[in-house]
Amino acid sequence: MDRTTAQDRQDFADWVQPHLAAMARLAARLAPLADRDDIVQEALTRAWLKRHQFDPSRGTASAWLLAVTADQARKAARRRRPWPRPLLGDPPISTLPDDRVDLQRALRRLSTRQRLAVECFYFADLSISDTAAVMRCSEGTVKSTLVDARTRLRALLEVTS
Amino acid sequence: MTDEIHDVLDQAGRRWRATQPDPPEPDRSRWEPGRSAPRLPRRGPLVAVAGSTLVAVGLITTIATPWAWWPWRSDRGGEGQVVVTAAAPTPAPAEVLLVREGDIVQASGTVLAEPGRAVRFCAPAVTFMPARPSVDPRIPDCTYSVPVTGVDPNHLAMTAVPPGVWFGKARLRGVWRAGTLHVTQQAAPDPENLSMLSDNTSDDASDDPPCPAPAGGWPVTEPADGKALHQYMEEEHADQFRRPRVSYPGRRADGKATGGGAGGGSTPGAGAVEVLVIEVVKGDVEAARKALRERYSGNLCVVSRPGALSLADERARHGAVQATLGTLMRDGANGIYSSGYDPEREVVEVELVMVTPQLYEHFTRIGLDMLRLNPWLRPMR
Repeated sequence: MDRTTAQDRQDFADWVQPHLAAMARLAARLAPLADRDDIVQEALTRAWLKRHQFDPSRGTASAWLLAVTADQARKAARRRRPWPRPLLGDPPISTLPDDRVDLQRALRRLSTRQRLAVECFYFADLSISDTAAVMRCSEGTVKSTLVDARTRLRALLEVTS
Repeated sequence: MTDEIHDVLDQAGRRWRATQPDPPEPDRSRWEPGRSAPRLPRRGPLVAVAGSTLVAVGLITTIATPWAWWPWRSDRGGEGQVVVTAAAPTPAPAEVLLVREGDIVQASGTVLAEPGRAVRFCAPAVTFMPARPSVDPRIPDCTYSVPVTGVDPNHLAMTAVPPGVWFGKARLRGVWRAGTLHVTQQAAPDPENLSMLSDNTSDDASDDPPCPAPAGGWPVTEPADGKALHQYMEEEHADQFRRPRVSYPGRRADGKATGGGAGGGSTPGAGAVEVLVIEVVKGDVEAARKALRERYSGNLCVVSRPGALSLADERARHGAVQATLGTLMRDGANGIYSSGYDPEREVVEVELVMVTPQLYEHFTRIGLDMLRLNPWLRPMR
């Protein structure tokens, strides 16, 4: 007998709905060549299967879902993505205005952690708290990483200009 | 305080977000019990979940498997202090995992006592997220559980809610007899694996492709169109190629640079150096490389991998296993709560309560070499 009902799925869908946009943005940033929507669906499936493990006393739904999404995005970017796809958001560099070319190039020269912080906070528009969840670090570390990233970018862009 | 770089990034982020399409609507069909993610045979780990029910046998597990993830970090005691479970059991040959009548077994989980019901041993720490009036959210989920006797409640970190209900975590060892765990030893529970993002792969491993880098290193390329490649491999020559993967030269599997790659290592994200690795399991590698290159303009690494499962093999194997496994999973009494295809190991990983003799027979018929069993309750050999 199956106790998982349509109402359960409706409840879950309602529960994830407010977070879908952030999940999609994060997927697009962390795995830009992969299928963003597929990552989100995979993340939702994972979250559904593991929903009993969610403990609201230990973090927000947003942080939990974004962590799941980041995990799926990382897998997609690393080895689960068989077929490269066009980017969803970033146009080819050659079509960008000069200032954006400089920024893109500068972003590529950040460290992994700095880049991740920038991707989450500035592009995916995650909060500091959610960025910390994705980065597996404290909020203070996120802030300091962002400071470091901006310092590095400032130097890079000044040199460029 | 004004920060020009902050403003630049903020504006760049806004511009990018403005280009983004709406997020997808959740595909609820993927959440139906016993159903796998429909496209997974082509995309990655198949994940299916059993039609859950309160059954005499059946546990929810929290064991760390190569696929299990624990999206909760520890209470922060410091940066990077992630608690890793001490009981991350390595899947063993199936027969070693078989639980017979009278065996000593062991697991770490939650003991739950409710009025009018046998005390149960179930997974730790769970609440159902959306509030459901029929379920007290303070009571941990115990969809899969085994009856248990002999638990000393005085040695549990107990929580009592509401009146008459108590639960607490413990590592229990005891005798498995007549469908019940008779406890002989009780200890503190295993620390939970609280890694936020770990997928338990070897993060120290290099992610370099198995091909020498061209002179000057692997170039950063614009995104390549993979449709023609996909068509060629997946639709026309599925028996010739293994599932492709993307490699990031100079980067460890955890995303940190090894310092050995071109440009000091790449990062997943826009502008990362990526190499599509394709393994040829059958036929002439040079001819395959030429055919693939004609269809793909990005970085490509084509190598020979004779004997590995091809895309067609993988599809057939997975389909055969999943047909039988799906039937077993739909019966909650079997205690199988998830399964998924692991393309790295070329097996279907099965997470379940315990390997009973009945299940062992089923698994044998499926083919034990096609499965990687990961039970929660394990015999002590």
